[in-house]
Amino acid sequence: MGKKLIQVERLSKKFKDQVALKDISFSVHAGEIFGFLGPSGSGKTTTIKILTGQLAQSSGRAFVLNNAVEQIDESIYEQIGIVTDNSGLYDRLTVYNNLVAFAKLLNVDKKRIDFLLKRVGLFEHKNKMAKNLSKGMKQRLILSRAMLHQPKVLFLDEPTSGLDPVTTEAIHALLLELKENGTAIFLTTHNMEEATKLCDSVALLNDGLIVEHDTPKALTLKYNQDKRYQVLLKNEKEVNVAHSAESIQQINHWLLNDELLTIHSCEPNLEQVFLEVTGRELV
Amino acid sequence: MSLSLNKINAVLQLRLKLMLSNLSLLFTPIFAIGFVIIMGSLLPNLDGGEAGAPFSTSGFLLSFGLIFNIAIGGISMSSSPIAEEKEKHTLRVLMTSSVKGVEYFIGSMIPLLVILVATNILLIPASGVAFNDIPLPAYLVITTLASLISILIGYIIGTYAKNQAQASLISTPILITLTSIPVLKIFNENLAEILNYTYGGVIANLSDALAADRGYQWNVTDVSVLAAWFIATLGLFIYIYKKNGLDSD
Repeated sequence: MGKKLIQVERLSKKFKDQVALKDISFSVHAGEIFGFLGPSGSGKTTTIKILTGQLAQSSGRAFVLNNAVEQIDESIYEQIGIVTDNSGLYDRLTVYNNLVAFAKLLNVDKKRIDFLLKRVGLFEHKNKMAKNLSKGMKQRLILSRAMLHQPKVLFLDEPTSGLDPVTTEAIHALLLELKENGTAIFLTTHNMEEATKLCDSVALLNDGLIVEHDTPKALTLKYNQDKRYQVLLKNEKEVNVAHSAESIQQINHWLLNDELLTIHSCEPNLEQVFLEVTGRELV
Repeated sequence: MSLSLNKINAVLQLRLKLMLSNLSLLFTPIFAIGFVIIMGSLLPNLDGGEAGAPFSTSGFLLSFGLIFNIAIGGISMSSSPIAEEKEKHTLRVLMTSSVKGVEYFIGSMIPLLVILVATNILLIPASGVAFNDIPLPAYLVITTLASLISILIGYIIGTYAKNQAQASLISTPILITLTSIPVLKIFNENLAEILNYTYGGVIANLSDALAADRGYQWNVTDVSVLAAWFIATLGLFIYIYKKNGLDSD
């Protein structure tokens, strides 16, 4: 496991009477994608704002790149990338000029702009005004901007929300590439499929409280209480069987008689885990 | 606090590109010169030095043009982009991309100040005042300082307002008051005395003196008024910036 790049210890945030975060703790390492999962209003964006120095916590401690978040300054911003719902673009500038402005600020070679634009499939649109881009293209441009300076830590708030499957797939590929290069990625999402596919570890957030925290695999196994199997037989009959001595005998029988086509264990997905833990759906 | 010239330069270039992509921002300085030329051709040519003349046409035009450029141009050109950046959340992106607030303000201020100062100079021939009659150092110092004050007022409005609509709503009464100064000074003596203590009043005094061939003499009142306005607007801006931040949403 790589170096610890984000560390959160008993972090809480109150807005007047409303508690947004309650004593949350976790850490994210270099080369790790950490999924912060929860429904809208559960405190995901608040956490990103605190970790990026845009909002002060009420209590607890948090460190990004070994710096307390209260002391995040320009030197830290040079090493992190942020993509949120509110990450705006300069509408009247072209795709290319939107990135040039930040390349100059962050002392990045302009060659990297072309590289990134090709990587996110925007190179052919580099001279298009940002205002004329589709939502997916804008999101890819925002993501390119956040990756321009090859950040050590990347904060992504619902980066694929509302995007088409092709764009989502392209963004996933990029994130996995960044992870391979050692970037720590803090990803908030309410898309459990995305989390299962990308994340090395996930924390389930409900009403500001982390209710579960582990790898997606470990969580689904932990909540696989009734251990069932979905069997497809060659006669196209589908059977769902429980884990018991009797059903194992039956499966053996199908196997020996070459009647079995496919067999899958029926662990719950993260969405079902969340429902079981909190009693509410991820909407 | 250390400032990065590279970042100031990057902000400056960004602001120039944004200005070129939205030429309506340059409308006020161009309109100030155009308005002065058109008014000059329409108004009777009065000489303030002659008996019976209520005011000098060229002085009135220069005064009007300067107020128009410095007040309307300076305030709207500085408040509107900040409000727009807040509204479109690009300011937050800049601030979380390692730009310090001071670097942003300096980088944004330089192109505005250059445009305002250039327009202030072009207004001299446009209003019909002879360059030879102008004590250029005094003219430049006073108009540049007044332009800076306007930019700071614009920054205060932009930092306080949540969006462009709110910024223009707050600006309107301030702009109306400032642009009325030359006219109010002519028609009401008591009010003229009070207006001498505004930075617009100092500009009006300067242009009146130049046009009436009286020459302009530095005086403690004008210098103190400008210095006081500069310090007050800078102080208020720093206070509002510290209280609201650049992007308080």
